[in-house]
Amino acid sequence: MKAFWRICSAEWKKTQWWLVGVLAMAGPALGVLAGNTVTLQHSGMDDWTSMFAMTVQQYGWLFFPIIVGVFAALVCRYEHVNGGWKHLLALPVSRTHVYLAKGLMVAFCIALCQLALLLFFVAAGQVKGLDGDIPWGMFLQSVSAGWVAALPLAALQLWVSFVWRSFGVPLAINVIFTLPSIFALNSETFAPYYPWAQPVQAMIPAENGMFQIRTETLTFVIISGFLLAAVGGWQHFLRREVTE
Amino acid sequence: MIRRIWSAEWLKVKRTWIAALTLLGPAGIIACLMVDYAIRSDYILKIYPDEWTGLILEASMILPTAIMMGVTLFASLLAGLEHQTNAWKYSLALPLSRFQLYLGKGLQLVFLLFLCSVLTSLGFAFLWVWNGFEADIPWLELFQGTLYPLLAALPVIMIQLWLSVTLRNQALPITVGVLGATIGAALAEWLPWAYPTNALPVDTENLGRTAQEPEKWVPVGIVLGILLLILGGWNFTRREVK
Repeated sequence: MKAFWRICSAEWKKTQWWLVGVLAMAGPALGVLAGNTVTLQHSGMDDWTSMFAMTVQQYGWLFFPIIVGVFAALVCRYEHVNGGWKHLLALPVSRTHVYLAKGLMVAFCIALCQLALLLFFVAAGQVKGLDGDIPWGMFLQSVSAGWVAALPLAALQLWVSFVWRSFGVPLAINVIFTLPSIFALNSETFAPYYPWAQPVQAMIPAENGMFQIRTETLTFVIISGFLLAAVGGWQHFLRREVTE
Repeated sequence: MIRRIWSAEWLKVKRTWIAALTLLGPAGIIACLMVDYAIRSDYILKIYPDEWTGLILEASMILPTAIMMGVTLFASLLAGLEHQTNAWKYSLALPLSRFQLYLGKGLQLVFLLFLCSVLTSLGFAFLWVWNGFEADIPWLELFQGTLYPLLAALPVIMIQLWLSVTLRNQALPITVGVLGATIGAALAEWLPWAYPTNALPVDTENLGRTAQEPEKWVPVGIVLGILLLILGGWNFTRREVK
């Protein structure tokens, strides 16, 4: 266990926190700005919920799945440049520990992003002077559900990022699969099964007036997707020959 | 000289992901539209006045975003060829003008995207026949439909080129590009990231959508794009390269 914490702390020190900070805040900030410009259409929802639905749509539909991939590529970048994998894995460390530590870092970065969204959104709502109580329960549930729903994607992107040395290739794969979620959300039967469309479905408030969300299917698919991608990536990482 | 830089650049992209992406991008867009039409073609034919308007407006859900994402990825991958092998040092040690090297990358980036555009237009024509539309294929509009947004995206292309070439770590350029592509258009219409969204050659007057003004945004895009290319190249010539 002690060895594991040491790897984690090494990962922590390697990270360029200013960069992670900028990446984790830029998206939520712009998402909240864009969600703000939309005029509220009083469709039976209170102002907080309807503005939140707008913001989540701007932020979660395309940007969030892609930033998950950026974080996954970023935690692997330190090893990919200058042949760090060989050095790291030549040390008496367990590969499982390395994999877990990388995964935890990605999960932590995504959590920062979600936290930034929540804070910016509530601040913007206060500045705008929205009526009514802040529905903290719904907000917390939404951002944490979005975090959980992004984990299968994070595991998958981590896997892809291990395999390709280039920063652009894992991102290209991610973008190619993210774009169809523009259409996927139109289909009620197909949407829960599409990993790149899951975060936005998990985040958007249940009565959003736009999409029907099937919670049970979604939960089941997210859990099994995560297991598949995490176990696959972990096993491949254990067995993979490291040449650079 | 620029001709030799140009052919050297093409040698570098042979058998890389860049070549694959040129085919995958347009194929992906057309596949999405095929699924879209397969699922709800009755609805699409009902809400738009004619087949061309329906096709381009359904495509407009994905096309501008896809163009700007493609720009981001191509720029990053092209610059990555140099960054990953620490090749800037060597290219710049050659007796070549730095501005021309930068221009070479820029031209290649625009040309790759132009190829994607043409392929997407051909894909539209395929979709037209596949869906069994009765009118003749409107070739001119099909090509305008992908080229106008691309020309309007020139400023974005040049911003991404400059970011990807000057920064080693591609996390920041990619995030800027993705943010611009996904959220940029919703912020303000004068932002470069909104031009491709508003430059489709279609009349949207009675459809309750934002007006498409290619006659305004295409020239703006071209002029601003050239300006940003020169500025980026000028900055590139006076940077220190490690």
